[in-house]
Amino acid sequence: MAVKAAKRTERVPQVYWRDIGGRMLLTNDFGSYAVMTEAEFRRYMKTGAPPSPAFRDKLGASGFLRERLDMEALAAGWRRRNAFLFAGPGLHILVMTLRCNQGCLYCQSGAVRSPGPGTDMSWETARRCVDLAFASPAPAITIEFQGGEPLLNWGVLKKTVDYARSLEKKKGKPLSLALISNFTLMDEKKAEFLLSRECSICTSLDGPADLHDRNRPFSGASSHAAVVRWLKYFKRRSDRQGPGYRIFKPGALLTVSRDSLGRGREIVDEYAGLGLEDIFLRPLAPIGYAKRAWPKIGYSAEEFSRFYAGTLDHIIALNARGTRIKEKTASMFLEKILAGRDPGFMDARCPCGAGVGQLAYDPRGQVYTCDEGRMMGWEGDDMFRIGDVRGLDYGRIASAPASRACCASSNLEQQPMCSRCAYRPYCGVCPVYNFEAQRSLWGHMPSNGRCAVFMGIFDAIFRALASPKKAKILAGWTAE
Amino acid sequence: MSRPRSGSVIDKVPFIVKLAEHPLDNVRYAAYALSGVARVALALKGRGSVEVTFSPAPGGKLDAAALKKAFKRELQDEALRARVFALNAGLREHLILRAMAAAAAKPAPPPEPGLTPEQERELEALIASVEKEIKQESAAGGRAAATWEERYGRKSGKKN
Repeated sequence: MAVKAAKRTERVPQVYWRDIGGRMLLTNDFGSYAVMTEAEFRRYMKTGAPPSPAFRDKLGASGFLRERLDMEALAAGWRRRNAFLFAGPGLHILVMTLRCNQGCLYCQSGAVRSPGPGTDMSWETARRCVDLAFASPAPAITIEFQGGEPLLNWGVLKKTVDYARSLEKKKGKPLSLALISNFTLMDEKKAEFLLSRECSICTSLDGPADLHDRNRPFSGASSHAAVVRWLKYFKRRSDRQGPGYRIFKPGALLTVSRDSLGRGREIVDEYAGLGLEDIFLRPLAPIGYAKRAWPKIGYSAEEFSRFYAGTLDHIIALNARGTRIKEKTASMFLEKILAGRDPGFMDARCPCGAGVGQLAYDPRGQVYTCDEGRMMGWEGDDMFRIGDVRGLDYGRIASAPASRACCASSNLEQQPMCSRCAYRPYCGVCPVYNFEAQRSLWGHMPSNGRCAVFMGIFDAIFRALASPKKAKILAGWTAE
Repeated sequence: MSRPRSGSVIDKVPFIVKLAEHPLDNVRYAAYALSGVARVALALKGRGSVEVTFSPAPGGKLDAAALKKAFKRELQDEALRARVFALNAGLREHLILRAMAAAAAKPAPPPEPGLTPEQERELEALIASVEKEIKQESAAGGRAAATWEERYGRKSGKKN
């Protein structure tokens, strides 16, 4: 959008802008946004005044009129949106085992098939990981059990859950527990144990049986069948609840592979049919094993953006007809855009969550900035390793070269394109992705696939927000 | 900004930009924004101008007319951005410092108490009981924590 700089631009406060299909989107550091026609935008940028009386109150309240800036309210809003800067690592990912009984086409986690040295986390290591997690300055923490397939190390997992719950009581620090499993080893006893400890349960579901089973082969059986069986079980338990403890709704994660493109409606209908209220349209990242398999399973950012926009439209249409289902990426961004709150989305923070918002612990007790960094470590590059859990405290974690490098390179102020982008108040970059895809922690955003994917997602969200009917549905996706 | 020297689809597209019209930083930002579609090199031409040369990525070609339009638009956008940024830098810094100072002024949470000897004993007892339970499960033949291969052996043929 070309508008010549005029002297009266002096009345325009700090804003960022972008053409979203013929309309101009304006955002500011406080996370507010406004949509204008090109003519309105031109007038606003020339005079700093609202382009029409109808805009006056909205622009004034959201920090777009320089003469009406409410400093105290804007500073408080900025603080609320960036509260994570003052908290410390709240998410602690424990990789209980590198072993897995599935052979997913896109596996990023570096799973191995058989036990060997360092493949399973020992109880001694797990205990130290939990101790370090509880020593975090964060006012509340989440411990997430991952793999491989974490149920393959059930004995240690079980003990770790009980130990973490007992520390929660002793230390008075609120704890959330989460398990990510493929459900193939789930049974009633394990399920009961996890539910009674208020552990939230999440699995992977890539869509209808043929698509899921092709992406996630499981020797001799349908991995889809196991997922559906246990999703129904946990949903039933959650719907009924009971005395004694809360039972969370089960969640599922979708990884979009090349085979998913063109099947967005079917995938969403599968989720809705199972009564799931969230679907997370996650793009593949060329990290770990997926990097080598990219020619077979990958796709361009433009292809993903088309898939995302079409699927989001279908989800919104389902909501309009009374089915309650949210797209997770959109709902997390809407939390920032509409509610001015941080949804805890580590991938879209400035700086990113690496080391300052989250830590990942591998089975040997090596601590990484994040799970993506841990995957790179398993592939042989320890660039994102912070240290050994046996010798770390939060001073060392914060000052570790890996943590500092991630903070510096994911600071959007220092990214030439991000610092001027309209999506900057809601977005974040990933140094691990940048390094894997472009061999630079800073990356090169004009040709960065992740940046293009995020742009596509934001474009789809803001185009939907420009429609009053769709905006009303999207507003319902923020946390109640 | 002068015209590119060649025709519509060519190998290199050079532009000469007068620094009196567009400061070097603006030219850099505008060129960087287009560096996803082409390689770009900047070279000062005397004191008053800079030559911006776009060349295609390996195997690619450039559309000179489209590139010229895009570069001109980026330069104009950048001029506006630079002006807005410069005018608001102080105000922006003030607001963010104000927000951060208020957050820093909040009282720090009290240090977490360590475990008392009694609590340590309770934890040890808990761990011992869980360990006992796991042993009992294992003795009862529980084989939940086994891979497909551990249970049924490695498959030698193709996948089903």
